[in-house]
Amino acid sequence: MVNKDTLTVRTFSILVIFFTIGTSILITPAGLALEAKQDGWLAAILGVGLNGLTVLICIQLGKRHNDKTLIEMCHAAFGKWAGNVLGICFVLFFYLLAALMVGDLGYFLTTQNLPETPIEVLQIMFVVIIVFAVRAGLVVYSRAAQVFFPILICFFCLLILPILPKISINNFEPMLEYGFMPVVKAGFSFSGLQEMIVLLMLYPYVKKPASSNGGFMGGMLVGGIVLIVTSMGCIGVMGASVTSNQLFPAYVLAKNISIGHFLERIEGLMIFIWIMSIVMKIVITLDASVIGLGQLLKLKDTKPFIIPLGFGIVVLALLCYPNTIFIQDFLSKNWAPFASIFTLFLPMLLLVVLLLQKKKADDHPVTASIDKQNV
Amino acid sequence: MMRIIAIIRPTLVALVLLFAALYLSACWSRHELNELSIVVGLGIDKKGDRYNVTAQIVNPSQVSSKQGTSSNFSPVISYEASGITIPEALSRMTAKVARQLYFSHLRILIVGEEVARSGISKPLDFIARNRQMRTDFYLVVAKGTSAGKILNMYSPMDPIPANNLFTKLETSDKLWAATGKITLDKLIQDLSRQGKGPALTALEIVGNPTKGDSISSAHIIDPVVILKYAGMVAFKYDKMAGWLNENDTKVLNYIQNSIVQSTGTLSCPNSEGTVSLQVVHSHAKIHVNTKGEQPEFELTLKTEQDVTDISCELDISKPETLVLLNHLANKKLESMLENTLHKFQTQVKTDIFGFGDELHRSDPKKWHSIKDWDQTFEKVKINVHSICTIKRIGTTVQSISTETKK
Amino acid sequence: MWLWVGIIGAWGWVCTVDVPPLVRQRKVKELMLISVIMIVMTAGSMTYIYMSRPPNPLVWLGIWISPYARALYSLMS
Repeated sequence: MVNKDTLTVRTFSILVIFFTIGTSILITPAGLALEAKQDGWLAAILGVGLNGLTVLICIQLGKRHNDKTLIEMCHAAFGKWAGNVLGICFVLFFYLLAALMVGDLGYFLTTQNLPETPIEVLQIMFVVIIVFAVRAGLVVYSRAAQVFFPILICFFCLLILPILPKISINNFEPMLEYGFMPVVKAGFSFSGLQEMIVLLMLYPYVKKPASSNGGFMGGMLVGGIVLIVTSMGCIGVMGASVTSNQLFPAYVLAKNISIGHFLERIEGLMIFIWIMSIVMKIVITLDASVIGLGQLLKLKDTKPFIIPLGFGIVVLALLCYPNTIFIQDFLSKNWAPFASIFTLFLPMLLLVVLLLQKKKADDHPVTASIDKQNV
Repeated sequence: MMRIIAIIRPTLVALVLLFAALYLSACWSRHELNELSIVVGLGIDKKGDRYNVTAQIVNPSQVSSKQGTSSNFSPVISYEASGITIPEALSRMTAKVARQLYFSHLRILIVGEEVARSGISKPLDFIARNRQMRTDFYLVVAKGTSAGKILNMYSPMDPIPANNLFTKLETSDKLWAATGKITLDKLIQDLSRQGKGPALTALEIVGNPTKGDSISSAHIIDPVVILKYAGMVAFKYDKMAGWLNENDTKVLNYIQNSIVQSTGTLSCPNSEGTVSLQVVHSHAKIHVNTKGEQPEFELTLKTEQDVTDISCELDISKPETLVLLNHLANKKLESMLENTLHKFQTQVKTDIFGFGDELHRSDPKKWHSIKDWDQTFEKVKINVHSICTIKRIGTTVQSISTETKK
Repeated sequence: MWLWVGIIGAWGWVCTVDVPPLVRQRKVKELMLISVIMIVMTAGSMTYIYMSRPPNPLVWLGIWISPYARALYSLMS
């Protein structure tokens, strides 16, 4: 069992950056360009702002109640039974999220690179690695993230810098051609793919100097900037119509890298960025759901459950994603509202209820202390 | 109990190591290099309602310079197959080709004239959707011949004809404005925009085509057959609308700002002969005026030119001469631009220059109120201004003609 | 066929690595939970392998969420 206060703020920020980049860097430019056309970059900025709001809520929850885990917060707010139900919903949400991301990874690899490989083989291979990482524990995989982070930044610069000369400003005009509403819609769909609430499960393990809140927000902003820059690059180089038609626009963007007509065709290396960020996000999400399960059932050691749950992720991914069209349809229509229940509305509700409870306790300190004595 | 553990543990470790070694084997769906045929050129023709696909495949051993052309095998081989769609034709081609076709190194895609006339968007979908294809190859239209014949021609200097076509197009586009090039991603962008129609390069065979497909033709100093780029083809939506000659292509390149260098001639004032000027910088700007009922366009072309050749008696040392040359160059450019724009407004009736796109970008409301841009384009007024500055004159001052008379 | 490899691998991995210490410490609750999860997941993989149109949890989720999703998106257009 991991003790509290094991992660430094910097390590946590790196985990947040990996988490924010996640699957979004690969698939969001297409959704943004489809809804907002050439204003996709504005929608990305709006989406990052919306994520900032969810991060603020998480920080408030973490700061005020940093002795409680998320599940205990649910218990404190809503009582034992309702809190348990809410906790189960959260854990199931994290589990489903991990399964869907494994499905995304499988479809990306089989569409672009390894079309003749059965998809379950790829998913099983990656889940084995992820299960190893989660079993090794929070400390181990956060250190691994720290090792991979400079490589990620290096490759990302290698992706963005050579395509900067190819950006044509004409592709961004006319701005706000269809008004501001498509930008809002696209920004909302974009923010639904980030799911920052998962990191709240890891927040109790971070050392708590005053700057720890800045770590969470700073990591989210850095990840958000990476996503905004990728969206701008895709729309600027390829144009909104081509970007919206691709399944994986960042990969097509990487095909355009040509450094002095000498270093070309390195998009195979750029896959490292995406696989790394998706795997880290799945590791964090699976860890969050396992920790949540342990807190719900009051288990001391959750290590034996990781393998069955990991196996279940593969099965769930195979069942949930039958084909590419279903993925596109589900992500564009249903995912963002569904995720926003768990990332925005429920944490806000939790925060408000806990604030009101605290206020009531502050207003009636006598009855509160009598209650405490009676309990 | 301890003995069981002593046996199980090493077995488990061995199993885990074996399993880990599984990750080190090659990819699942690997194709070794000697199982692949690298396609460098693809030609699409139409016969009735079937597509005739020709693929030019590299024979690597004959291309490497170390071995030389010791045996008389050709460096490239072309195969042909037909089908109702392009993927079907390519699958049918595997009955003839020695190995699996691999498209990532495609350099040139040649489209036959009938395909261009009946619509290029249908064959292009396979190219866009295939995961092996990249977007850095050029698309050309075969003029006066079929795509398959072009892919059967030898080329001097480069053993792979498709490579020769590729480098020829790149170099010519850079140095001579009468050639334009387009890659697949730009073509798809132009197809999906209503304000600018695409234009593809046109390619023709100069010489006797029946003699060009044997390697002996590549042994002669003066090549019997040369593949030459001849202007461009304008498309309306995805169907061919008209040919562009040299001047039209120059105008298109000027307006699109895709000129790196180019050369033009002027006839000398006051004497017989011509002056050649080389354009070193060029920038065109389109300004839209949407106050009236119809949009009005102002096209401003700024060029910086050098004098490269004076073959008449012209006293270049006087400043007034340069002013005169500037004026003449401006007039020539303006007349060239006006002629081509007039031709496209009245005869070809399609906008390939991007005027509609400029209108879309500067005044989206007006753009959305126009239903059919090509119809409106016929009637719009385009005012052309050319601002030309001649900066340098090479390394000598007076022309040899002037010096000789003395 | 490869999913079978995964199923057998998962069962083997669990039984060799996680189950013996639990048996030794007689933690019945955890053992029950692990076996429940493994049985549910194996059942799920059987439905994926043998049924021609396996049930899709996302479709069930879609049925519940789509009215709310459509309402939310119509607010924004």
